[in-house]
Amino acid sequence: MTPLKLPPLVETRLSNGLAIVVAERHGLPLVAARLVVFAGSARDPVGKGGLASLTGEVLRRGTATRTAIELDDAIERVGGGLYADVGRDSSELATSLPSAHLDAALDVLADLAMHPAFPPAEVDLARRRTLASLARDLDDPAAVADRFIAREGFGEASPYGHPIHGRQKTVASLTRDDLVLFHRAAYTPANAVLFVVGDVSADEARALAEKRFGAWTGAAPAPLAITPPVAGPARVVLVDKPDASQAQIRFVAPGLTEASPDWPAAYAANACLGGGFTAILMDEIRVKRGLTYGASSRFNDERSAGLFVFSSFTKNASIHELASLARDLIAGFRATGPTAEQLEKAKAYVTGLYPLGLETNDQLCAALASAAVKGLPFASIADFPAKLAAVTPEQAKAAAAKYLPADAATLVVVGEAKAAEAQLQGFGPIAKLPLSAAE
Amino acid sequence: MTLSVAALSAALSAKPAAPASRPGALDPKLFDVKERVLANGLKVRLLADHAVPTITYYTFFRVGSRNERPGITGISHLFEHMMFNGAKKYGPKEFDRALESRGGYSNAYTSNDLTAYYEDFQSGALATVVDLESDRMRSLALTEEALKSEREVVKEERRLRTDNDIGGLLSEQLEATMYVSSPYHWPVVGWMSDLDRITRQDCVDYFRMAYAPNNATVVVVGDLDVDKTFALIEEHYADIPAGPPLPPVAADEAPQRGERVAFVKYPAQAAAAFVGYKATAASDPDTPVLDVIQAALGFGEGARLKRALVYGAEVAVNVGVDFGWRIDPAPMTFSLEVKPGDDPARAQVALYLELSKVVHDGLTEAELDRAKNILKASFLREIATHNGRAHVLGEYEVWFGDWRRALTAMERYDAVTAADVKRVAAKVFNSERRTSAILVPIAEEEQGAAGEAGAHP
Repeated sequence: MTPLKLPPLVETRLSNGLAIVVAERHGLPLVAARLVVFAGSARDPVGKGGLASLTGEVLRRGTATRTAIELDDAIERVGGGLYADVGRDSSELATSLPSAHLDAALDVLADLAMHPAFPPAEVDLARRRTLASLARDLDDPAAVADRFIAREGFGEASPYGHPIHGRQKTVASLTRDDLVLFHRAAYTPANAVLFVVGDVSADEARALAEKRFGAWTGAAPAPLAITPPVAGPARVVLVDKPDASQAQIRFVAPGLTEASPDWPAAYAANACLGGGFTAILMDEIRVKRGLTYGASSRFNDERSAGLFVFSSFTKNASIHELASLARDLIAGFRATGPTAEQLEKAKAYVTGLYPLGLETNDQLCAALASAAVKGLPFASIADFPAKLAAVTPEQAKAAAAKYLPADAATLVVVGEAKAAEAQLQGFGPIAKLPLSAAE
Repeated sequence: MTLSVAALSAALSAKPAAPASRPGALDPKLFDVKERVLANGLKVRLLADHAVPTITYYTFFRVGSRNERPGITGISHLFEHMMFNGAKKYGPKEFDRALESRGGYSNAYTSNDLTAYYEDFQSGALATVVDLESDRMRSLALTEEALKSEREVVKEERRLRTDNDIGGLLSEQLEATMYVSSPYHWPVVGWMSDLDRITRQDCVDYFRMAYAPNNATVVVVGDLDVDKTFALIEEHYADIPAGPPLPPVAADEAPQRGERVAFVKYPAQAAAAFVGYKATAASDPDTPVLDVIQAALGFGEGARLKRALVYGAEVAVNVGVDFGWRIDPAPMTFSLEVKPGDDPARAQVALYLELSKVVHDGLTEAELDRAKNILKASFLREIATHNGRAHVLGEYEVWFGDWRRALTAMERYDAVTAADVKRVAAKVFNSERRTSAILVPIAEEEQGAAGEAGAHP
């Protein structure tokens, strides 16, 4: 077996201080570039949820010198793509295209970062489209359930607690001035890193970046302090989706961050519980009982706080059976931890597949960006399999006991309330909400 | 929520049937394929690439919902699930256990035309994977107990992706209305009532009919030794007997004499419309032309329909296009999402206007170039992974009987001219070939009767 080899990283700074990280990969004539700005929806002001997201979306709709059509054409006419990707801790502009056209791509990325025009008509149109898309989300039961994960897990008062794309009321209130101010404060070279991965030399990438980004100026915003959530009493959030023949089911509880020294052990423990097709949850819920098509758990982490999330779905008649089974399986695993055999299998599974997540330029570029956003050293990407392999059964058991919920989790159910309500006794007090509460 | 038609047609697929092209300057090692056919008819295609220490192992069967009959629709897909429930050597659950414990992942998908199984794994697990795959091709167990449980799993999958999903409901109704006599009439997942009807004996018959080695192609790409891998495959598969050829499919579609419309009443925040045109089969020489038209109209932010309908007239908040290759003529489907309260008819009229412009004026040179470049880059990205390259090789084997056809896709796209675009657009984009499925939102009080459609025949 050939060991995992990642290309060496060349980390430098441009004359204006913008950090740039280049990884050369020459197999195919392709390149990926990603400009990461360390400001996401966690920096949305109170009552302005969705601001970072809308800002990211409108950037490409016109700059001081180019129309939206010209910006799209510059990338797409050579077969490339351009994507704005806004999360809780970052706003990222990603592009992927044939490497001969890297300069054109960096030219566009720099133009969006430095000179967006935020044309008033485009802001209005993007707001209308976002409002329509938020409304349409209510028709997707899984999307509705997922909207409650952050709200219940981080708490509504947390900067992580609101949906990245905002809510009807907050998005409707966003003005062009809000976007301009957000962009001015957040999109600065002191608050950003540029990643380039693919068929280009580090020297050339750096020279092109200097040409396009060299004149960018601005200071970093003050750091953001985010308090991780603490577990509250168990409770149930039941969102009524009349006419649904299947309910979406989640358990949400506080978790941990990837920067925690416990991360590899917690990751390994969860891989045994809910991380693969032979993991305990899938085996017991789907394979043995045919209650669902999918059942999984994961530690969801942002830079400053993380959650434990269980996800599944089942027909209306078996909502109680699935929810109580999942709760008991999680509690049971929390008490015992994995067997040595389960742990070895999970480690082999995760480490064997790990290189597949880093196979393409776009994947490696995104992994580097994610490490930067979470404040992790880049070496953590290549080191992870070894750290995971070193986890002992005792460490995995301790992590399960520490980071899995006992019974203090929120149960979120999105489905037909008249079918579900009677099945949800014993999971804590029930808050029954109309679908519109997800808006 | 985005009602992507591309995602929908791939609802039971790991990947959409991506149209493909190839730029001029590809490293020949990327497709240095070694091929062999075993005495029992099993086709084997191997490609060594040591860039990443993993291997992808695909098994393609040229069978899908197209080979079914009314009454047992969905058996191809249900059967695909049964392939994970134990064989002679590796009993129930042991397939995934053996694979995952050696650093591997397995999945499969079923489409109208084919069923594909794949494993991604660290290269040390190759011998195990060959053993696992040959075991289930030789001697699948097919127990009543496994069928009982798996049937419920598949019904949950149907509830997830069709019965409680607007895009799933619309695309199912679109194809059920568009196709009358062709097997594309029924959904890949099958009607709910048929899922309850399929018996173990149906599964045994299906296995005999469809899963003989002479109906399969094995494609292995990655960190492997070609000679050793051929020897390993020969050793494990050679004793599996060949079967009779697949029975012919009654695939003929009755002529369409006018536009068709299906209305779907469902609780929803906003209306939507899916508009499909019967287009061409994968092997049709006009198919590359339609790939180019699809990319020009629908791929990327600067695509013509997005500019016209979303950013221009603002009659839709999203628009998508999907044209996947199939053995028989496939639909080209446009999805139109509108704002709450808006009538999708306005978006439909705007779509028809744009399509008639393509018929009369074609595409500009810039649009043609853009579309061709997008198709090429998308092909390059697909072959950037072992899994993607193995998938391309297998698909070309299924569609054209020869993976080499992938190497000339570039020339076929380059040959597409502005005149071809007008000619093919005129042929396909007319109302005689059109079928629409319209979502009619109903208020929550009206919902009582809707229920789990089709659950009880």
